[in-house]
Amino acid sequence: MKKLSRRNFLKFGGATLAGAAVGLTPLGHMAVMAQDGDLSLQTWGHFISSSNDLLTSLVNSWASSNGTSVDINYTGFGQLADTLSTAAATGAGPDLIMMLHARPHQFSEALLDVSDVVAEVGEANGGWYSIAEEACMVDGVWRAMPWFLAAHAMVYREDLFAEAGYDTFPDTWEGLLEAGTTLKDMGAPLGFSVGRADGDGNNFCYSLLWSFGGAVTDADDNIVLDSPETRAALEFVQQLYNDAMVDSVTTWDDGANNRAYLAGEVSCTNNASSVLWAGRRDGIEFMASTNHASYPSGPAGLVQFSQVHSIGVLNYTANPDAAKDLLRYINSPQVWQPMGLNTFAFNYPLFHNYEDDPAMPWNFDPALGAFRGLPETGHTLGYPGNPSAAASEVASSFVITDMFGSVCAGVASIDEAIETAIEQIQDIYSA
Amino acid sequence: MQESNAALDMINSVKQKRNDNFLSRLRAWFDDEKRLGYAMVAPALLLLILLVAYPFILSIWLSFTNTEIARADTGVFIGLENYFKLWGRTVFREKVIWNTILYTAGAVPIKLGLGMIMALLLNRPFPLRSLVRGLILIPWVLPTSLSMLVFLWLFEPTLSVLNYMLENGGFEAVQWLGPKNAIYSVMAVNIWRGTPFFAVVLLAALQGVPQDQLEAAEIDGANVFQRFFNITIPTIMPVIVVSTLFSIVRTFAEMEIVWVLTKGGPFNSTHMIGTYAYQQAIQNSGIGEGAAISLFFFPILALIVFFQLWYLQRND
Repeated sequence: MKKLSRRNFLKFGGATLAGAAVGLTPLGHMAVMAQDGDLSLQTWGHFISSSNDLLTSLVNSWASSNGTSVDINYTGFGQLADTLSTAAATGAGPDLIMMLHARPHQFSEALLDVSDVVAEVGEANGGWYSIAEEACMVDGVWRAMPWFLAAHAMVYREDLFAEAGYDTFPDTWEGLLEAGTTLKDMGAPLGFSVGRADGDGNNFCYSLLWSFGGAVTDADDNIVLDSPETRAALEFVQQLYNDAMVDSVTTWDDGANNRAYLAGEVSCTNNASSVLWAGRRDGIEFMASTNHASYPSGPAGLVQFSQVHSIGVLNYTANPDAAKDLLRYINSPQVWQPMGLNTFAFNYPLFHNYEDDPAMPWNFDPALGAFRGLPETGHTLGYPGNPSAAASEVASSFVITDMFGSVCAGVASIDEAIETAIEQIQDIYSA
Repeated sequence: MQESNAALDMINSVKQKRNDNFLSRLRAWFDDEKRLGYAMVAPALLLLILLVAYPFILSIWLSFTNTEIARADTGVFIGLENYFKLWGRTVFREKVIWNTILYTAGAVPIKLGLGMIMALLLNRPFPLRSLVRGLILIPWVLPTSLSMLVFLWLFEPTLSVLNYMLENGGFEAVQWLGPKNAIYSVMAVNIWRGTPFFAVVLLAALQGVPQDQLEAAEIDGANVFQRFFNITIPTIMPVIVVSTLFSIVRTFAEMEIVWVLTKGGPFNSTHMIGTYAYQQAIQNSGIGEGAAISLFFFPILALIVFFQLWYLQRND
């Protein structure tokens, strides 16, 4: 009998492995692809968990009346980004996925053209806010269905501001600095994250930069960060940190400002409606004097970084028509009426129809009135340049929050902070 | 009817013979120990090829390309460009590399030292010893993301339990995850999680130290330190070397602790190879660059492994 040498054994093993790999690849795809007519959707697990139950029940009833089924998987934001990357790289995963900010630009080649259904939904609902187009339209093609804006505002203690002599919330950053200085002296400082907080940190830092007239790039994507406007924003944040803010903001994650506000440690922070929702749920006394106000204006006016949430259809889906039907349904009145109410103004529609709807929380709850029409002043990453993959990378690498944070913490001068940021931005934009 | 039964019997008997022949041939084939050895190793080898060799070779290839997720115009061979680009990047050169080395060089010796102390204590008889031996493993077996939630609360900027105790004791609160302290805080968490591994492995090794030698040395007047350094340590040295080697590699590649607690911040003061590779490859879609980051230290780690294994072999 012929002896099996090491070499032959390895050859045999390699051939087996290759065969297995070839055989397993289609099987792998089959395992994650939905069956004919069925869909899978991966989306963010809402902090108001009843909203997840509501969405599931609405989608299930839609699916059963359409002779299909939808498997909804709720995850955190981090997991969403990971799944999107993996799905785009491997061509396997959910049929539909929720995306944040300008992700449709970053993953445009992996996403189906949904222009027809987006146009139809926009037309039926009073038209899209321009920020929806900024985030979801790539080279004239809608690569995702705009879903909602996680509307951000200033959440503040009316009682403490009144005690400091402010009956209304300051409408300029300078005014807020002045009020904050008094409030800090009273033991009730302000708190805005300049740490690695994807949502709240980027929201504060980009909004401040833009409303001072600064920007990462101009409309043609030339890097223009080193400008008198950026320096003015950095000088301002330095003073705001020293005179009006709580020290620990340089380390705050996305939950830290909620916890600090609910613990009564700060008199104002920037957030969506989740602080008020959690405070009311827990029966915290000072929620009765908690209100929201729009972001203050800077020398360049009120320009706010806003968090667009959209749903994209991965182009490997076996059921593109059913997926588009589901997109249409998710933005229909049957879903928006109950979801708009249940999500406590956190989910703000990206079309105009519900702005004046009396059944929506921003029109009947005085503490949520500041959210009404908020998408109007908002922009997504990259503004005023393109919401490109590079613009997303600048944010996800925390280049801008680090620039602001390092100045606040005193670990870098304004010149050094700008220089460090520009080096990273040049590297990202040149790739 | 009878004829057909006879035919069936004949077919069955031929089948049986064939089976017997096949089994006996198989048995004879495996009588050769060499063949049996290869057959036994084959499943493990297959798994290694599938789960280690293939991803490793693929990541080497990716590191030489400009591959980006969902970009059809990428995937082009660019040689060492990713590596040169990384070296030219201040964040990588001055923060990521330095933090990774500091984190590993700081945490591994402390884990080894504490693990050794724990192993020596657990090797002595005391009440409920078995229970304690089991309990010390908890930090190591708990899912990291779960245990990190506890540390998030301990280090919370506003509501830290540690700061509550410090302030009640008349001390000032500490920004545990602030720019100056974050690297030491995440290092402490790594030590907390990794020490039980050393303790258990070294405890197993200590049980193999010949008692008669220790007793003889004691009778000859050797004190506890002399017995430890001249008998115990040399006996368990192979285990120390292998477990340290394993820990160095794992600590070098740390990702979960740092990502959950600081995301590499503040200001990149805790960014390490693992977190930076994740950020660039998954969050920013730069798979090629991410692979280069992961492999940047491979030659150095390979050298460490080589010297440690060489040392072991020499002492055999």
